[in-house]
Amino acid sequence: MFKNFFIAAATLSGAMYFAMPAHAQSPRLSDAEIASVAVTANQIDVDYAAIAQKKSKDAEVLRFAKTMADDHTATIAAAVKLVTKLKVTPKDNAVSQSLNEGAEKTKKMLQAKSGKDFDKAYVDNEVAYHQAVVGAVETVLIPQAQNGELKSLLESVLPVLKTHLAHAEMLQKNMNK
Amino acid sequence: MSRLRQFKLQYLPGIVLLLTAGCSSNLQPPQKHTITIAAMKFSPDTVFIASGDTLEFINQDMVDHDITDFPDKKWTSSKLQPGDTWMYVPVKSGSYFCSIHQVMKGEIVIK
Repeated sequence: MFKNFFIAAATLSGAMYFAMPAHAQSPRLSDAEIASVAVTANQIDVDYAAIAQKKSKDAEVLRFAKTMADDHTATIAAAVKLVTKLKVTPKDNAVSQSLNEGAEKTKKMLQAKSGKDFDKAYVDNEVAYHQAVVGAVETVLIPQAQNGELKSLLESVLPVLKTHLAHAEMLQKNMNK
Repeated sequence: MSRLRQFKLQYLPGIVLLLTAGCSSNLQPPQKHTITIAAMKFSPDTVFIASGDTLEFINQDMVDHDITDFPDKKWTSSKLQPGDTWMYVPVKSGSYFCSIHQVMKGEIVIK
């Protein structure tokens, strides 16, 4: 399931996300691993936002990047608070490692661009990334979460991610006018 | 019977009735309408109110929001953190949005 999802995400976006290792087909994730994936996925978008805040001069892009930084930081804080309460230690796994590997490539790609090329690349990447993460949360993380509070947290994060996606798509559409 | 007295007898009850009816509707106390912000939506997203009514916005989400006039940004709340509440008495009908998450929109209709 993961492999199919990641291939679909990469095909849709043309981006370099989520290249799954061959042995990681249809992985079953424990709650500790899901927590790790959730924190990693949020931190990656905080990192992308930090690059945008340094490189962009477009007011709308900067405003969007600040929202991404603030919202994903708030989500990480909520996740950390929950796993602390549940006495769960987020566990590194093939999915979170794959996310980080993909993010490193994307960060290099973004760092190499400037001006309007950067703005377009950042916004295109935000659309693709949120499409991929929404799909993963909806079809993998929520169904596999065992703890009710973890499942509930993921369910409350989903509309935030979908709103980010709609916002990024709006920026993308305005840029392409 | 003087013309004035005749006029009073004929028309005064009607005038009083009209004035009273007008006053009674205006004397209704202003109402408070609550709009929750949850799951990245204003609920209800369209609110029908009377002039002078108060809107109470409650942020039940896990992220910050604001409430801002759309599209001219003539009025805005301060940033509402999770759990925060903001009161507003609209002076005219119009649209609003969250300027942080610009796809979140709502509508105020003053009847």
